[in-house]
Amino acid sequence: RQTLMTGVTESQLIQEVIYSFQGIEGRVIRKELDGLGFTIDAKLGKSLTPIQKGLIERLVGVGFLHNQLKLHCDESDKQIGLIGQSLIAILRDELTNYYQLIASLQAQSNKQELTLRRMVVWVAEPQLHLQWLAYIAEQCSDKKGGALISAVHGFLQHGSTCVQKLAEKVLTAVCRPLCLMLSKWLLDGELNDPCAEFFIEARSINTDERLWHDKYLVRKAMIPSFISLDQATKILATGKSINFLRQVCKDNEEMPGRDALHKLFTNTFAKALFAPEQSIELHTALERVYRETSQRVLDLLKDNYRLLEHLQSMRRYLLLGQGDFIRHLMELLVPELSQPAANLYLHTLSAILETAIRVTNAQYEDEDTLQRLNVNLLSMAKDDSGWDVFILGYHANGPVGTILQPTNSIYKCLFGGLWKVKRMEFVLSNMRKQQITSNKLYRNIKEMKPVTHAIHILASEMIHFLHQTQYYFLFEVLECSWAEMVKQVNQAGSLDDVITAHNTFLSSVQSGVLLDLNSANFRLVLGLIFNQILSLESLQETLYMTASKAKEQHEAYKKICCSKDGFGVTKEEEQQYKKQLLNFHHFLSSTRSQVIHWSTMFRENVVKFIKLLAASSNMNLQLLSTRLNFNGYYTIA
Amino acid sequence: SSRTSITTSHPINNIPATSQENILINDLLNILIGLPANYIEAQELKDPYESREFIINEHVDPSLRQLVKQILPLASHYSIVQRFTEEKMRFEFGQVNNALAECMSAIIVDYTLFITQLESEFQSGNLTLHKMWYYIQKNFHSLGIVSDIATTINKSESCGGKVLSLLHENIAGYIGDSRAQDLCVTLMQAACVPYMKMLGMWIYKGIISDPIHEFLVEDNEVVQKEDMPVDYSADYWDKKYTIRRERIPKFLEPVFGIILKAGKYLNVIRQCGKSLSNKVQVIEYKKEEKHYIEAIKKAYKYASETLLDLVMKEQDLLGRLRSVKHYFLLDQGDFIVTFLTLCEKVLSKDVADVVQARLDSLLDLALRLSSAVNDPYKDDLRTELLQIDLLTQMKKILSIETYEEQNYRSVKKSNTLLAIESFSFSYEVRWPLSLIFNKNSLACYQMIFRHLFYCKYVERMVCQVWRSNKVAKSFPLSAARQYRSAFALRQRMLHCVQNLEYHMMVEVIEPHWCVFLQKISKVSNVDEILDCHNHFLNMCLKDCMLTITNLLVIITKLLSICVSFCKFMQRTQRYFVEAELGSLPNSFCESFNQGEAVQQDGPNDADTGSFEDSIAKYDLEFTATLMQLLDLINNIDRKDSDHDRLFNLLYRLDFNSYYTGKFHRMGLDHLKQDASG
Repeated sequence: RQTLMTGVTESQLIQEVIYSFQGIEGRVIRKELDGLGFTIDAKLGKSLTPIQKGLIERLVGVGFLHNQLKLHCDESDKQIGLIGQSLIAILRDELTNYYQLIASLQAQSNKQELTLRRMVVWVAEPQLHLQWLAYIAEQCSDKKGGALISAVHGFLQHGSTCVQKLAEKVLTAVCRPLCLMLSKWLLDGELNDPCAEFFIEARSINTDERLWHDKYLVRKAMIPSFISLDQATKILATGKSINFLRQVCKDNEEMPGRDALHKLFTNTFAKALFAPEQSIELHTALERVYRETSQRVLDLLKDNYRLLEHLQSMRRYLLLGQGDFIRHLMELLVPELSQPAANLYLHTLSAILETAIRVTNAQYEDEDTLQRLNVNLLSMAKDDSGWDVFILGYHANGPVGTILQPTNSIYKCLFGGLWKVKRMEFVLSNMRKQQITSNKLYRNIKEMKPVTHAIHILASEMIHFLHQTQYYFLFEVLECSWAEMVKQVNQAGSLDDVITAHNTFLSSVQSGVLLDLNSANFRLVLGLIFNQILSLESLQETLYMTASKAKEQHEAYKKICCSKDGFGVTKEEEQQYKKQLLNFHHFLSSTRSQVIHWSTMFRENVVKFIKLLAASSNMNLQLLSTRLNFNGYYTIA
Repeated sequence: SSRTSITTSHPINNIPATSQENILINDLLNILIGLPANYIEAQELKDPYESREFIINEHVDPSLRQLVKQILPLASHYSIVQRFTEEKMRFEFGQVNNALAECMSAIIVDYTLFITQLESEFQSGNLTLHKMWYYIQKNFHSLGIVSDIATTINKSESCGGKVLSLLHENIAGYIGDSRAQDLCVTLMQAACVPYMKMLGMWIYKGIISDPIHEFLVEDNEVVQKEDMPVDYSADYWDKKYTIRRERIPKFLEPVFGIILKAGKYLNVIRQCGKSLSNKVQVIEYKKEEKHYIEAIKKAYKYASETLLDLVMKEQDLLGRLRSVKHYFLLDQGDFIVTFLTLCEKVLSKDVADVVQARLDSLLDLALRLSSAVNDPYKDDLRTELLQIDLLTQMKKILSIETYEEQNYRSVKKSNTLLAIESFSFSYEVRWPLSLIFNKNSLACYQMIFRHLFYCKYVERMVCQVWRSNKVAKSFPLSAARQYRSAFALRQRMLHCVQNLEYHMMVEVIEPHWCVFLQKISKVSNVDEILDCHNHFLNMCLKDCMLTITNLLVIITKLLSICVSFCKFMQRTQRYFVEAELGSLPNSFCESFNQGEAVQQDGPNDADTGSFEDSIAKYDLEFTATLMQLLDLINNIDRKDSDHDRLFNLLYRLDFNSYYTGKFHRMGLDHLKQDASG
């Protein structure tokens, strides 16, 4: 009972409470063993009245909040990034303000003006303040970067003005680093983000070729809640464009109006988040920077690097737009490409390409373009002929190369397909030519008529088929897609639009000319048909060769018969001639049956192809089927 | 002055009453700010929203006890308000509650300050319980009001607009007590701040920033505008933004309609990629209503005028309407004729045999061959082949919400349709005009179009017959007489169809169109445009007799009789010309060959009898149906002004009372028998 009576004076209690505000324990007010709060010492507390106990218990709550905040600040030694750092900084500032208040409390207590109750009034406001700060700190404790900003931004949704003001203050502070990063990125294309806090990240890719497509991407988790994904992508595109200009185009001119923008960002960025009105302004500013930068990149590529001309020449040479050149090139290449692939030499082919350029309209083409045009050979398998591996290439370097590089393989594939169809056309027209000339030559050999007739019919059928298909490929697919792309490109506001338009063009062509993944069936049938065309060609070749031999023999025989010495032919000669004639007739009849067999096979394949076309969901392919079978010649079961 | 603390163990009955008073005052000072005391004990709460009760130590002097008891309700008020502020500061109670709680906590802080003043008074020894009772009067009253408000809000679990309504009622309720009213107004003004901010964002910018769903307009965000399909817009307009009635604060009740519209309009404008030039202004709550109501009205005016301007001028609504009228209401004659000439053959096929792409290309051709080529919007016209014919569709629509609904709900494609029966135009519209040409109104246009177009088609058929009948001029006179009845019937049919068309186009659509144009030149907002447009379409539908099922059925029947008659004539033409003239004159060869194409469809069921018999049958059927139609129109209540235009048709069809005369001649019974057969 003695200790109880020693008692504690109110001024002592006040002093202890003031200490507890700063986290220091005293005789009566002790720290909780395993916590941040304070309790009243069990022994000494007995001497306190319930009135005092109640007051002290309410007051030490402030100390608890202080400890919590302080702990949060002290734990910040861990690497938490710039934005986390700025949060700690603002918390420290707030704590400093709070210490000032305590100092003034201390001064009052020295003047004996303070009672415990009065202190309750004094601390009411700072307590609320600390409480919300602690709440914010808690929400942010395991976050960093954009996510942290989003967490703080959420506090703006509170209805009370004091919380809003506090949140604004904190938000302004934490947004400062973000704002710096953003303006650096938007205006200079630089990323200064050691702790991966910014919502754009760069991958370590060194080649310029991949810069546009792969180097930068959006880090979704770090997008602050007030920036939509759409905007983030636009911001990404802006900085990417600047990098593209700097690194690939070596264009170091500064953005026009850079300073004004810089000012706008630093001044309004944080504010913009509180006043929605200004946020609209900020977003329009972002939009404007994006548009200007993209336009600049686009203009540069269009004007300085002639992107559109490049696309045009690729279409002309790789997609067979320049007909006379392709035709002539093919004519020149026939002897070379008929060889096995292993016997081809790039330099001979290049020489042929040169020749082809020089004699056709291609010679009026821009020198630069012509230099980019080259010959390539695909990797060859064992039995490949030259036709299978020959490829025209277009070498685009620099900024344009960066843009076009990913499409190279598609162009290769397209060229291969179109080249094959072109070759078929070429073969068939040569066959036709041969037929017409030979027809007169072998007019007298009556036995050949049925054979040649069958071949003519089959060849005509093939020509019809091929012309329709070729027409479809070149006009309905290529021209239409090209026109669509030109329209898109003219409307494009950014480089990405152009790239998308180009990609759409390529993929629509790819599916149109049946070279995409879904058209494997079509390709199979087409391949069969093409093989038949080729075999018919060689058959015709053999036929005419044999026929010319037979004709020679006949003429030789005739000569002997009508020779002037009047002895005529010997028996052996006559027999030999007859044997030859028999052989020839034999050959003819076998050829004829061969051709007839082939034509049924060909017809089967065409029917299969038409069926596939008709079953396709693509309206244009259905129309092609109608065109191929316009008079119902091929009966479709 | 250092005082030793008083230990709890002192029983109070040992202390004289005057000292008791000091102890009780000290106790009260704690109790009044929610802290424990020696002799007054707070009781546990059973319910978080309950008012707190206190027990005074039983040994306290009875008169002092009464005094203290008198003061204690203030502590209960404090307790309620304090709990309210603590709870409602949390996010989930919404911004309005947050703001209100903040304001209340400011009152609490003032009140605590007052208590500490009492304490100083107490320390200087000047405070007695009586004085205390006198001092606390003012706070007693105001805290009482605040705690009442808090309790009501707690009990009704209100948030957002409802809280504001409640406060508004309180303000109105305290008209007599100006101090209380001022207090309520202070609370109201504080609570209104976040709400008015939302309101401002909505009416000036069309943005809803309302995370806790407190605002009176709700955004039923389904899809972004970019991925919005065209036919979404009908729903979009009605359903994207909706009013939540329970969230409307009382004082905004009279204007919620224009609040909703203002934001809606602004959204449309923004989605068209236009920037808004108006500034967000701070709207405050004032006791005098005028201020905010006017601000809202002004904002609404700006929004509606801007949108109207956008729709009328930039999007050229009138031009669009004219363009749509050209095609759907057959206003551009030469286009329709060209189109029909090109498509007639395709349209008379089975719908399954028609390739829509072909129709599309023919339409394209017709657009470019006719004067429609000058229409800048012609490329938006499309063709469409619908699943059901017009009659079934109309029946289906008209039977909705009647007992017949069930019958039509499950109607399948019973028999194969002809292309002409399923054909319709459709029109591609882009945002924001798709608001006006939404799915519903386009459907109305389509219905009218199909009806008109079919009439036109039938008229052409009858005209075809008329043309081929000209060969009869070269028949011998005696023979020609046999065909007279057929030709007379043909003439009657022509008269009937043409008058039907005339009625619909000249007497119905044109006048309605003029009225519509007049109205639309005076509208002040987009909703009015929508109303006018819908009204126009509904009037046209109604006066074209599409909405009266009986009439529509009979007209369809009439037309089908005409069609089968025409087919019959085309089939028989060849034979009777051959019979009369021996051989075909060259000039007619072509038309018969053409006729043969038509001939193939439809079995020759009518050909069983002789030519005269068949004609008589057609005649009877036609006359009976027509008279039935006249009868029906005649029987429509003349007083009902809804259908007064129809009577013109009566006089037109029954010109010279031709049919009325016949009616009398034939006798009523005979007619009815036939009609049912």
